[in-house]
Amino acid sequence: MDFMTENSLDIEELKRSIRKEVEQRKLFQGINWAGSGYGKSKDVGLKDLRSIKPIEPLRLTFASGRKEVCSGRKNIHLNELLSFHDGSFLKNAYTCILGRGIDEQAMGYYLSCLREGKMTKAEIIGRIRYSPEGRKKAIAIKGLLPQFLIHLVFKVPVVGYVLRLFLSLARLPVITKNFQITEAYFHARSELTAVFLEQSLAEVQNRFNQVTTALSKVVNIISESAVDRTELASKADMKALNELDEKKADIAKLNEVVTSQGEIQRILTDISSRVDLLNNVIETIRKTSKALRETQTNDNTTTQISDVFYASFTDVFRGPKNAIKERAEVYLPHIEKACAGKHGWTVFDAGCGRGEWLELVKEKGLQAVGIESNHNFVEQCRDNNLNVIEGDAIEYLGASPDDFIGAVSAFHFIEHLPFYKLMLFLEQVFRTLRPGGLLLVETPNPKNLLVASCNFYVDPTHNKPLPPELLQYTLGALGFGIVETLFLQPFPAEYRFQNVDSLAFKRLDEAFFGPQDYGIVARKSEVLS
Amino acid sequence: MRIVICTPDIEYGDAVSNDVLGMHVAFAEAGYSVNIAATKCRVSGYKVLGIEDIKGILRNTDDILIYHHSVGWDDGLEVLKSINCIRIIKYHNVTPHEFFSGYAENYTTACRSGRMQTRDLVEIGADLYIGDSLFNVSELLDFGGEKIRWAVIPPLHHIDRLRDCLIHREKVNGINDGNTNLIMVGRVVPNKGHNSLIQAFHIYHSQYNHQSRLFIIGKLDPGLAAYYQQLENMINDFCISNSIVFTGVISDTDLASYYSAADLFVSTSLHEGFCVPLVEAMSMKIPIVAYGSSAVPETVGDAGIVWEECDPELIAASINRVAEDKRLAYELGEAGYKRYRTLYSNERIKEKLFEVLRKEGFIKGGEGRVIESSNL
Repeated sequence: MDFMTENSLDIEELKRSIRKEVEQRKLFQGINWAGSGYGKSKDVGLKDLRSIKPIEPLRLTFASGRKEVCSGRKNIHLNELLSFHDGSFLKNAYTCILGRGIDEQAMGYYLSCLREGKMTKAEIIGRIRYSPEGRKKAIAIKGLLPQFLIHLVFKVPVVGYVLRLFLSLARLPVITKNFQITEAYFHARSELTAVFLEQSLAEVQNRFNQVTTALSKVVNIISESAVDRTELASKADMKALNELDEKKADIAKLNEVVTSQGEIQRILTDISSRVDLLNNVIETIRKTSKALRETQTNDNTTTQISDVFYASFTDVFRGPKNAIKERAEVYLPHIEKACAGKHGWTVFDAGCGRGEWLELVKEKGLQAVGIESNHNFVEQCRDNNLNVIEGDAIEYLGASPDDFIGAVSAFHFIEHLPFYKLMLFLEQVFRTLRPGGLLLVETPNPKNLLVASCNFYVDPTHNKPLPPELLQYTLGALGFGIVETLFLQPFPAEYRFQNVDSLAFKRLDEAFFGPQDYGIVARKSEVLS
Repeated sequence: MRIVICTPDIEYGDAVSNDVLGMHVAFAEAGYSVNIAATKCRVSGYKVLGIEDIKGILRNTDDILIYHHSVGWDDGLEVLKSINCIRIIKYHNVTPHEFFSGYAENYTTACRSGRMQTRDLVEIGADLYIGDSLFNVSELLDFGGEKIRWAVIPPLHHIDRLRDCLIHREKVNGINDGNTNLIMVGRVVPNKGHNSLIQAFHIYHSQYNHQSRLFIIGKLDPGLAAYYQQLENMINDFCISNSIVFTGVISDTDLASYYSAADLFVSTSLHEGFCVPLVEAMSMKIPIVAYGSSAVPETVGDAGIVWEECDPELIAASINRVAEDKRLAYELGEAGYKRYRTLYSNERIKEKLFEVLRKEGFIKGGEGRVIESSNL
């Protein structure tokens, strides 16, 4: 690129194009949001969809019609404050007298007093002004003191009533005038409200029309693309049929030539049958050797067991869902500390099974995706509205971009893998985790002799027990940092040796009835320290 | 004729102090007898007079007192009111106190009194008011000074020294590790709008480019702990604490190193009287993306992407556009450098200063008379 050419910078044009980009981004955030995606989708017609103009958000504001009494003034006349009503009266009184906004509690209290007629406006102003806070601010309110005092006297039994009656009679003309003013004010407000509603309705109608037009465009684009696809498909079919016909004709011609040469054909048939025989022998040898190899590597046990069988097996042997969920809670603080499951840093659960962990993460309001190869489990998860992909975790991670996932969990997953696959899985996890991202693995603990000798083999799809030292070393070799190793689920107390005094007994107790599982929390190191 | 330049406080790395020191050098180089007077001076190598000495030096009516105003200063105001010589006020703007309320009571009070003194300064009717920017001058006019004599002269700065610094090669290599480096330079105070900056960076970092980092370079003040706590919470909530670095005060060498390793300068400052760091970035050919509050649009002009609204989405998209498009980054850098050369180089600013003073009749001809040696 030649940078030394004439400067062609047009900032305004640049800003226009950036603004347009941001608007489109906002509009399409729900449809094609790159931040949450795993690879970009190639929607047909997306380009056309983007060409639809974004609809401005609807903003309707109803002018309050009244300016506030200026806060910060040291002198205010009582009437200025009294000319406001209801909530705006209280807000204004607080701003002017205390120089701050009204808190929710005070608003609720005074509003109910005002609306139920328990206090007059003048009384409320008096209470605010002569409160300790109000006295400190010392705003002068002309005409307040006599009014406030009179209102206090009103509260005195009998005398207050008589005084009130007398004053009301004396102030009748003023009260009538005020009533007229209020009436006129409310008429004016209701006029204004009617006009505002009319305008808003027209605007809403207008926006609705815009939305309908945009929607019909979207429908058109989608249906057009569907038509395009069927046309393409039928064209492709026709072409294939024609080709097939041509091929058939060729074969027929060939047969004619062959039948015309009977003798040669017989010999050829003989040779070809012998060749077939040889081929069969070779195929049998190949199959046998493959079967032998597979038995040796013990790699295809999973394929021999049906999804239905394994799902029901898990229900019997893995334990109730709630118990599993409870057990997994131990990992939640780690997830939260690493900020996984937020801002697009998804939690990815390899071999999510019945989705206990996914449910737990979802309940915490975090984003999580599971991957599971057992179709029955996938269905169960989807019935529970969990986000699960049906497929192979290693393949899936292999196709995902670098530094993209907040945390990967693999609970009772890795013991199903042969070691080379385990390495492959961990390599992919390391690559796809974001710097600082977590790997949570849990697997049966072979240090418990009952687990190592028996319980591990209860699951026919288990491959080989993985001692904690091996897993720790492997993770370290791949570049993970071990945050914590957790030894979990020891046998219940009734199984344990009672009165363990000697060290030998303690060791025996630990070896037989100690933790049945262990978990490792590992972390991909940061680029920056 | 003697000249005294006064300011309450002279501090290392502070824009007002740099302007004061720059003026001192400019007058001394031109052969004038010039002194600095201040209450406090934390920069070594300068002989600074006390405020009480000013009247003893400026005895004639053609002597000049240049008063730099950026905070409330009662002693300075008293001298200014009572002295009988040519009085020039350089207005650097005072941050509105609202920015500090709820964070630091002492700053709120200082800024409030500073802004009240601006009114007093307008009322005393000095011989000339100089604003760093038209924005500053317009504030003076708003304070009721429609009849004042005014001029716009940008502040003198330390950019020449910065450009001459040998950069710290190891530091630059450490920063240039494939990440896109964004920088913001300026004291870490609420009016610099760090909230929006962090939001914009979060959007850019999570939606456009994970391989990115933001350096916030500038003095951290223990008195603003509440503000920093708020920023820290925000950063933790966005999970970007590993990608944002607060450097605190750094040396010129380190600052030059950061500039040389930066891909972009981003500012979402809410109140600036001029903003010298923008000019620093221009002089280093660093493209600028900014929110155009107060004097920012005036300082940057067409040499950067400046938005009328403080929308983090727009800022993030602009950062991405510049970071992705190398040609655009180059053009913005060149445009900035051109603007720096034509408007903001120290030579250009000094020329303008003398031109204004000559036009007003405060100084005569080109050279001043050498009365005593420079204080340097």
